[in-house]
Amino acid sequence: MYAFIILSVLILLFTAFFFIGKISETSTAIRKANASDEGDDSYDDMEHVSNINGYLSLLFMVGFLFLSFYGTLHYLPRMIPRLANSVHGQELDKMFMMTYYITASIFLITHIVLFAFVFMYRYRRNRKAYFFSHSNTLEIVWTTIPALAMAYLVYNGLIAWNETFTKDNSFTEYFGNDYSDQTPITMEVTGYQFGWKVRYPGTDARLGNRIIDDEHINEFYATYSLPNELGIDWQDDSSSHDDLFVDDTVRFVKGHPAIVNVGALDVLHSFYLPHFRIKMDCVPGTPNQIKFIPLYSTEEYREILSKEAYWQEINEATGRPRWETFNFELACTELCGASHWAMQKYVKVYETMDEFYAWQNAQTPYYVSTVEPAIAAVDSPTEEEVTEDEVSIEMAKN
Amino acid sequence: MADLTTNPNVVNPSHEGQVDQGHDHGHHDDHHHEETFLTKYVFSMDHKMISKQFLITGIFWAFIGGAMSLLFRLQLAWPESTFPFMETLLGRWAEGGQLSPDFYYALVTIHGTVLVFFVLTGGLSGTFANFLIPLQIGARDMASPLMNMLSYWFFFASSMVMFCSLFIETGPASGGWTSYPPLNGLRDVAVNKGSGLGFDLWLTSISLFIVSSLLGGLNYISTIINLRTRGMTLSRLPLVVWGLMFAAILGVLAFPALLSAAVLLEFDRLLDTSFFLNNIVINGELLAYKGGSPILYQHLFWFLGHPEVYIIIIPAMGIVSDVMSVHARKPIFGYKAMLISMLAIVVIGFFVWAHHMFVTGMSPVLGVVFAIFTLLIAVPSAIKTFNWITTLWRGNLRLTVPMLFCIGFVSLFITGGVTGIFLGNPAVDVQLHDTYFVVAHFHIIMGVAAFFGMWAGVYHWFPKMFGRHMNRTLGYMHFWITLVSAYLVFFPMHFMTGFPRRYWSFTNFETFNTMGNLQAIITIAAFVVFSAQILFLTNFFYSIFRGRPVTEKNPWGATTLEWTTPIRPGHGNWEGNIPSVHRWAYDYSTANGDVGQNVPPQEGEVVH
Repeated sequence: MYAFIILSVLILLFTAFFFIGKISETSTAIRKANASDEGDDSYDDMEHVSNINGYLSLLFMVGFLFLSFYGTLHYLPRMIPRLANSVHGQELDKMFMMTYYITASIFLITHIVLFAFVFMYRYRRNRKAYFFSHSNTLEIVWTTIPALAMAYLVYNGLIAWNETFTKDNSFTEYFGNDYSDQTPITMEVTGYQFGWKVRYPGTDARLGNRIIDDEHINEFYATYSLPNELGIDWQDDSSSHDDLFVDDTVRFVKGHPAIVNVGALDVLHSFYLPHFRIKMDCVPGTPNQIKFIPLYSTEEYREILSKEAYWQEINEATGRPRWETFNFELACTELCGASHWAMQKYVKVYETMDEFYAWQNAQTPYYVSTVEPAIAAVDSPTEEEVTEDEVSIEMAKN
Repeated sequence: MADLTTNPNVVNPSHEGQVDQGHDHGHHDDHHHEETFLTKYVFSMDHKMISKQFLITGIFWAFIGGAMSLLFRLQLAWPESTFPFMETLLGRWAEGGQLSPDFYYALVTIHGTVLVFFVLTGGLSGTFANFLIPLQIGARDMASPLMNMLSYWFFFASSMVMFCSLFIETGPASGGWTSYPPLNGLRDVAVNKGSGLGFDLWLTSISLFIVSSLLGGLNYISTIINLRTRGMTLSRLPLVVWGLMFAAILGVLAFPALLSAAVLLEFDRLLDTSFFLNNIVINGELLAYKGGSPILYQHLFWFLGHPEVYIIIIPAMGIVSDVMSVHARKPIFGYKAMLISMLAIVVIGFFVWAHHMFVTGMSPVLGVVFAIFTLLIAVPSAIKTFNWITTLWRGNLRLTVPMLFCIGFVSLFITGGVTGIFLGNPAVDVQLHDTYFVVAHFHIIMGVAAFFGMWAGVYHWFPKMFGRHMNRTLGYMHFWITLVSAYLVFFPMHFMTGFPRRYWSFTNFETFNTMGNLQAIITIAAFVVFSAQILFLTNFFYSIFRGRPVTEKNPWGATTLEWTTPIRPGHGNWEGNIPSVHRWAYDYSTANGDVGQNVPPQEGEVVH
């Protein structure tokens, strides 16, 4: 019923618009004809419409500029994520703001000039346009100014970009500071349809080797009935034996460099940590690496958010203020199939390395829990089988 | 006002270059062939008819593409609601009235593909290149009318293949308009429904479209180079013709890269080659593909993909420059600067493609090169903007409908242009890449702005195309509703800085649920924009048949040659001799008033 009413209203509105158009065409023709019959030249049709549209342009300009700046201010506290939680992220945000101030002023000034000209120079019967075909001075001015502004932005941007993506993992001169005495956490994230395999090294701080070939993936799977998508060298590299796979939450430590090896199994994914200003594509067959240093622990970040109106509102699902249950998140930003939108994981930042070690020590390595039993089941017969065999041998002897 | 019609003083201009035009229209065109419906409206070789065919096909696809966006906007605004009409419309793709993720991605993909290729390339370049090039340079038709006709029919075939792909069992392509492998490189519907037959059809369609675009482009270039009338030097060409030529050059150089990518991708899919595939593990099994690179595909794709946005926007820039000049009654400010900046955009446009790939793990050194070129493009763009604004300064602006669309174009070009400065800077792009900020940026600058250029052209040249006027009041309504609501759709997307694009729903994430009803506002605005286009379509088709007839040759008082033809020109355009050209296209409000290009200089007059 509602659909029917809405549809009828729309059709009526549409018809009304159409006839307004038709009638105004006719009335313009009549007015023109009358004016010329009576020799009255006070009415000029072009002047009439240019007036209306000139005023509308002014109105539009005011409304548009007001809404765009008001909107920016209004949504700023909620724009995610406002405060970058990484050393390089804060630099990138400075670049963002620098670009914002420059572009917002260009936007404001050019719009005012554009619509002011439209209004000021709208058609007048007696006005003659000024023949002004070129001016080299002006062209030079507005080639030089944007060129300088762009040079300034690109220079600053590239410094930040080069430091962010440096191949140097020593962190001795990372954004002007020396972080080389902070133990780095090297870990690995592999995207697949539709989730993330997150692997941390165990106490040896080394990730087990991966060998992507038939033997380590297909044959391993066929032999032990255990998928080994990553091609981890379980049998010949003992550093893989204490590796941890985490299901729910990715973990980092405040102030400690995080070195993330990103990859993918099946299709492209992209490793996106919005709060940390981290984004790196996960490409099957091509390993990538990205690194960053978190600045605030989860608890500290919640503290910061608790001062903002939006985060103080009560979350309907939990009945508590939003900031209390806030968590960093991991998302995928490269279209990877039907559930691309659902590749969510939480991210936790610990206050100290000790908390991280405590978590690490409480986990059972994947090798111990899953791989070892699977290999043992095939390579060395189980006790029961042994007994059966022995029984049969004995029976044969007898 | 000076006489802008064909100048009778020019006696028998020799057009040696134009004798051989593939058909026998001599200098006198009064002996028309008997034309059947089929030769006149369907397999026509008249550039004006072909242009209308491109326009109407473009409108058809704009309607389909726009309607698709409404469906997925409903899903984005109310992800947890159901809309029973959707099930009626889409069947099992929207069971229970909720759009399935598979079909959501198919809609997003097809929306992007058809708007970029069919509407803003085929519909915009195809329409105006065909219509304006011969009419404005003073030629009776294209260099090869047959190739021109084939260009349309390849476009038509391409459209048909794409249209059919909407109805197959596994659905149309759904891996994004960029179609990155491996998602689209594996012919496996278990990986992605749209990567089955739907994507084969997508590749076929795009390949046919590339053929169409190459046939058209080569034709446009050779026509402009060879068939200009006497006196029409390159430096007297109207900017719109320059724009169309630059777009054609870009297309001819860039589209083959996409064709090669499409062919290699189909090899990977059908013949199990490994151009773009390497070490893929699915369901625990390592597939046999070895040694290819998915990133190589991205390079090939964006080698076209980036120039493609200039293929779209440069003709629109040309249209806006010329239409604005006519209605401002002033020469375009800085003709040469406009030309050089367009050329600069074309040249630099070939060296920026990898700015779409800053986060693929590329070497930072490579990123530096592409970032510098990308931000360099802001300079010619800024020059153009300032020149348009200066064209308005001290003009006598007739705020007609096409003029308003030009002004709207400039506003959109600024708004969409400044956000490009964020995205071109790799340091800022890390956060913004593949988010709604990008969606806002390119929809404003190459979506809405290019559409505004197209509308300016349609409203301006409609009297020439159909011999009738469009209804002005409906045009004004169309303009204001579209401008306001298109901004309401795309401007707020800037506020969603960091929200990933191509998400079927944001409900899984706390981080991306902070914007309240902003998505709903955007969706409502999108519906309003779409309704305004129905108003436009009604006006357009009604006016073709019932519009106020044009009674004078040159209703806008323009200086260019197309307005010297009869009100309804036949095939061959001019009755009698083709006019010669004596000056540039912008002699408005000179000491001698407004002077057409075909008017010889008076004694002592210095002409451009």
